Amino acid sequence: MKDYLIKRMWIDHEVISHYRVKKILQRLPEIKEVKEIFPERKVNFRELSFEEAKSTLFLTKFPGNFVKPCPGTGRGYLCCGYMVINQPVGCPLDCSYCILQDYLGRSPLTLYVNFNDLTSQLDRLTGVYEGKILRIGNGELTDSLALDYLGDFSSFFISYFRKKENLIFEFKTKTDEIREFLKLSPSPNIVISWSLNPRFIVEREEHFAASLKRRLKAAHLLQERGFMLGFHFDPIIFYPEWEADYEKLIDELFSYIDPSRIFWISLGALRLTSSLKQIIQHRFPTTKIVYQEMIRGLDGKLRYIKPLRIKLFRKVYQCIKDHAPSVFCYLCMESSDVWERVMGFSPQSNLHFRYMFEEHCKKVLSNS
Amino acid sequence: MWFKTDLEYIPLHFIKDDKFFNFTEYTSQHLETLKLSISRLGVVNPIILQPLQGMYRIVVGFGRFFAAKQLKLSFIPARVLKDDLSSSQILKFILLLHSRKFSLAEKARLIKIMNLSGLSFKQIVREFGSYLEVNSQEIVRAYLKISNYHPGFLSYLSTHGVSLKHSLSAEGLSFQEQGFFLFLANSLSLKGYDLNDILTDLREIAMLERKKVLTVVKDLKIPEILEDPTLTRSQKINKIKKIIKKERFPILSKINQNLEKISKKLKFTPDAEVTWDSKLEEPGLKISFRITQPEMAKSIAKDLLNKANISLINELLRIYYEGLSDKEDVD
Repeated sequence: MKDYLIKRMWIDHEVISHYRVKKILQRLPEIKEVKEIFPERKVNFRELSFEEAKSTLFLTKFPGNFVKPCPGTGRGYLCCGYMVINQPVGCPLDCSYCILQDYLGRSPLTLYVNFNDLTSQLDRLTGVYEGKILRIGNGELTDSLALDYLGDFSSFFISYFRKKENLIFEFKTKTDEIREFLKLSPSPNIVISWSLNPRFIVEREEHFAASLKRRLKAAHLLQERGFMLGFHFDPIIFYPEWEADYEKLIDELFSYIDPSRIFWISLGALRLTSSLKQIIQHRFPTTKIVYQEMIRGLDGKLRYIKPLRIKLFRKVYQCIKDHAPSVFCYLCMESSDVWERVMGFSPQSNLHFRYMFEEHCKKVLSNS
Repeated sequence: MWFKTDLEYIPLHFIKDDKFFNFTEYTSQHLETLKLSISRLGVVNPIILQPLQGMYRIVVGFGRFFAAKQLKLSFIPARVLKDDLSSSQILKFILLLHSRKFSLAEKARLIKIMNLSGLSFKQIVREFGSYLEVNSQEIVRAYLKISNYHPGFLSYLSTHGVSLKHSLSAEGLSFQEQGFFLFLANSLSLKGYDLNDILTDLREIAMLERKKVLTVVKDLKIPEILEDPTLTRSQKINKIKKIIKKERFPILSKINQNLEKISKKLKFTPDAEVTWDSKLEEPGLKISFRITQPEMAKSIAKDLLNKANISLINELLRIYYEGLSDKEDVD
C-alpha cells in the first residue's frame, strides 16, 4: 500500500497525445488537477513547495542523455563506476536526509515518455560495452519502484536488460511495490536492492517509505521467485542506540534472506551538502541527524568524523560477515584508508574498484 | 507620466515624517555631509513626494529631507507624484531612479515595502524580480524573513558580505539575541563568515543541549572573553572560536588534543614536526624533519626504530583513525 499520493498532473503539451500519457491518465482517474504545460514559456518549478512537488507528476520528454556515469564524489574517495539512468526523476518518498532535496530542489516528479529514445541510447551504450561488465541502475534520482505503477519501468528495464547478459541492471527502493515483478520471470543480471535502516530511523526519517518489515518481506518474496537481491546500508546514521539497532537489523535481514541470493551489499555513512543541511533543518526541525559531529570532507560534503565512520562501518560489516561471510560488500564514496581499516584491504584506485566489482559480477553471473 | 507638478517648493511641515518608502541606510556621517552640502548649495536635487491625506509622504530623498529639517529650512524643492499611482507604480519609479546595486538590507527592506503595499509574492517576482535579482517566491519569502531582523544586525550582515542564504542562519533569533551578536560582531569587527560560523555553531549547541542561545553564550563565558583586557582582538576571536568548537565538536577536539599531547612525546634528533588534518579527513599523519647534515638522516633512522617512538606512532595512528576509547573519552 502506498502512503504517497499523486495529487496533480502537469503534461507537456508536446506529449499530450502520447499513448503513455493516456495510459497514465487512465491509471490515475481520481486526479482532478491536470494542467497542460508549455515548457517553452518557462515553467517556474521553484514556486512549488517540496510537498507539492512530491505530489505533482510532470509528463514530458527528455531531449538529452538518459544514461550518465554516476556523479560519485570528489577527490579523496573511491567510486565504483556505476552508471545511472535518469528515468523517472524525483521521488515521492520524503526521507529527511535525501540528497534529492538539494539536487532536484522542488521539481515535480518527472516521468519521460520518450522510452524510444532511452532504448536507442541504451543500444548505443551496450554496443560500446559489448563483452564488458557494466552496472547500471535508475535508483539514483528516484526510488526505482515508487512510480512503477505509473511508468511500467520494471517491465521495460527487465525486458530490455534480460537480453544483455553483461549489463547488470539494479532497481533501488525503499518500497514494497513489487507487484509487477511477480508477473515477470527473473534474470541473473537483474538486481532488486533495498535500502535498509533500523526501525528507529525508518520511523523517524524515512517518511512514506515502507516499513522495515514490508521491505524485508518484499525482498523475501522476490528471492523466492528467483530474483537476485542487493542491500544498501546507506546512509548509516549515528544515534545513541545505533550499535544494538544495526545489529538487530542485520539479524532480521538474514532471518528473511538467503545470503547466496545477494549480489552485493553497500555501506555508506550519512553525507550532506551544506545546503542540504539547511533544507533539512528547515523542513524537519525535530530531526537531530544533522547535529552530530560532522566535518567538511575532501569533497566538500559534510560527513561524520573518520573515527566514527570507521566504527560504524566496522560494526555493520562485521555483523554482515557473521551471517554471510562470502557476501560481496563495498563502501560507497569512502577513502582508501577507511577501506583498509574496515575491510583490511582497499582498492588502489577507482579503476581498481571497478575491476574488483566486475570480477565479482562475472563470478556471480557465471555461477547462475 | 509620473508627476502631477513640475518643480515646487513645499513647506517642510507639509511633509509627513513617514519612512514607509525608506529602504536605504543613512549613517550619521552621510547626513553630516549632506547637511554641509545643503548649507552651502541648498538642496540641488528635488525630493519626490506622494500626496497623502492632504499632506505629502516622502518617496525619494529621505536624507535630504532630514538634513533640511535639521538645518531648520522652511521649504524644500520637490516634485509631487500623480495621485492615482498604484504602490506598484511608485515602487517601480523608485527602482528606476536607483542607480547603485542594491545591498542585502536594501533588498530586504524593499521587499518588505512591497509586501506591506499589498503586492503578492508572485507579483513581486514578476514585476520586480529583474531589478532585485529575485527569481522565485521562495527568495522573496527569505528576504521578507530577514527584513524583520534587528535593523542594526541586518545592516551588519549586509555590509559584511553575508549572503542571503547565510543570513537565514539567524532566523528565529530574538531581538535580544540578535543584539548580542551585533555587539559581539562590532566589538571584534568580525568578518561576515566568522559571525556566521559562530552564530551557527552556538545555535546548534543550543539545539543539542536544549538551551537558549544566550544561556550557551553565558555558559561558555563568552562575555568574559570579550571583556578580557589582556587579549588582543584576534586572540579573543580565536579563543571564542576554539571554545565554541570544543563544545560543538567534543570528540574531535579531544582527539586533536590527545594527538597534540602524544606527538610532543616523540623523541627525535633533530626534532620531528608532527602535523595532521585537524578534521582527521586527510589520510594519516605527517612527520617531518629539518636536515642540515647527512648524519642527521642516520640519527632519524635510528630514532624511528626506537621502541618508545614506534609505540607513540602506533598510538597516534590509533587515535587518528579510531578515536579515543570510552575511558580516554572520560579523561
